[in-house]
Amino acid sequence: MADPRRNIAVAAIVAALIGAAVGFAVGGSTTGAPRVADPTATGTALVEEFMGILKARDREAFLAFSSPAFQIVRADGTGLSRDAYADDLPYLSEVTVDRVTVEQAGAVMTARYFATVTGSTGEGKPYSPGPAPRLTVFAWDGSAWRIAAHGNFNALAGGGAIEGGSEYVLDFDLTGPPEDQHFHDVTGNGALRYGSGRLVGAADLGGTPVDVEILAWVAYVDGAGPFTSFLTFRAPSGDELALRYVGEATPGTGGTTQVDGTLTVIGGSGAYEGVTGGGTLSGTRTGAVGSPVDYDGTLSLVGMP
Amino acid sequence: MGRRGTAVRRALAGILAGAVLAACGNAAAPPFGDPDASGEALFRAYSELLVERDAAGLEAVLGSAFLVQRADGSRADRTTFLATLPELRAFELADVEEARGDGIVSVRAMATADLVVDGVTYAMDPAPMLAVFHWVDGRWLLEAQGNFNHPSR
Repeated sequence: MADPRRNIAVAAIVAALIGAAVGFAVGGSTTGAPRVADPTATGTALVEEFMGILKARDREAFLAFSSPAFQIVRADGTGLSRDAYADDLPYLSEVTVDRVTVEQAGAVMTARYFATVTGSTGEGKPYSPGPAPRLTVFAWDGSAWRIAAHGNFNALAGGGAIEGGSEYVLDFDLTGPPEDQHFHDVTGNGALRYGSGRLVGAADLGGTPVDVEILAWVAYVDGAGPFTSFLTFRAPSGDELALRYVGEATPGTGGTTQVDGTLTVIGGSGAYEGVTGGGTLSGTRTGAVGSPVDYDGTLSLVGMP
Repeated sequence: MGRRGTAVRRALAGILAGAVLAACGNAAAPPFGDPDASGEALFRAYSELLVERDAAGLEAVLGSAFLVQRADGSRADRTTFLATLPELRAFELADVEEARGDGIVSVRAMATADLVVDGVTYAMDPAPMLAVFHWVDGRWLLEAQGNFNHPSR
């Protein structure tokens, strides 16, 4: 465990450096919060500071970095106050944060991002790898930004929302037959692209080789936006497991697009009849919508053969 | 959704609508100008504006940094949210907890809602929610909301 006093000092120095970097100018807030020149850069630094404190499991540094208003809410319905969370910080060995979006309104900054983590909650519930959405709010206390609320949308494995479910790791590539892509580019430059498409491929579902098909409807502005789709696993026997897959696409770096969403079982046939559950699925696409996608995710299913 | 599912949804909506009306009957003036308003009162008042699809009321309550994040990864900022308001027909809250400090009230609860977002119907099972209100110039503004509900089967 790191020296708490050293970490408090480091946190204070980081906060001061952030303040100096953004340049203070009193905004519209009655509390005299600094107007942040680049909210995403500042918010990212604050999120990384928070994750560093969690990785160190540094109770005193967390208390120094958090507001009395702090609460955390998790996808399984558990939530903790500031003091309770400080007494039971999670165990994080790896954390990756990406696609950070931050807005500032005077003395408040809201940050939305995706986090991929390895570890467990303080109570010992393991996290699904993710990436999963996060919502973090920072408040200006008159001298520094402090974390005021945290929403962790990570579906906790084993003991999460799907009681008694077995975990299945998903890892497959899908391609889009050109004849199955029906997208309109109404502006001619990809600024608004919408329509439907079909992706197909093969996967392993709990040791059973299955065909995979996604039927998707999208409406993307500058490559970003929501999608609604259905995913079907088809076993060699012809038995099918049907899921709803909804989420959002976000442009990445190097011409890639990241898609993230949730899976919910809507029905099944044969050996999959009566199966329930859901999970998360993320993919990376290089190229326009309809291009091949590399997917990774997890499913928690009850009643599998 | 089959006829049985529709009937169940209508029955639940009726129960929830009754709860909303009961809550409205007990409500005083909107609490957004009260510095001592409870987090539950603030979130109920905000949710009732959504039920009533009161765009002007919502515009006055949402802060400029407002962001809603949903479990499926979708989100909306203030502009997008006001342009495409979700259809909240009824709601109920349980296990409400709040904390306050630095001009902030954070609220968490288990929420049951009859909700449609962008044409997608959400499950009516209790799901976690998180809301953060910010005291600005004599008024509480909602700056963030986390909705952990998932689309319905």
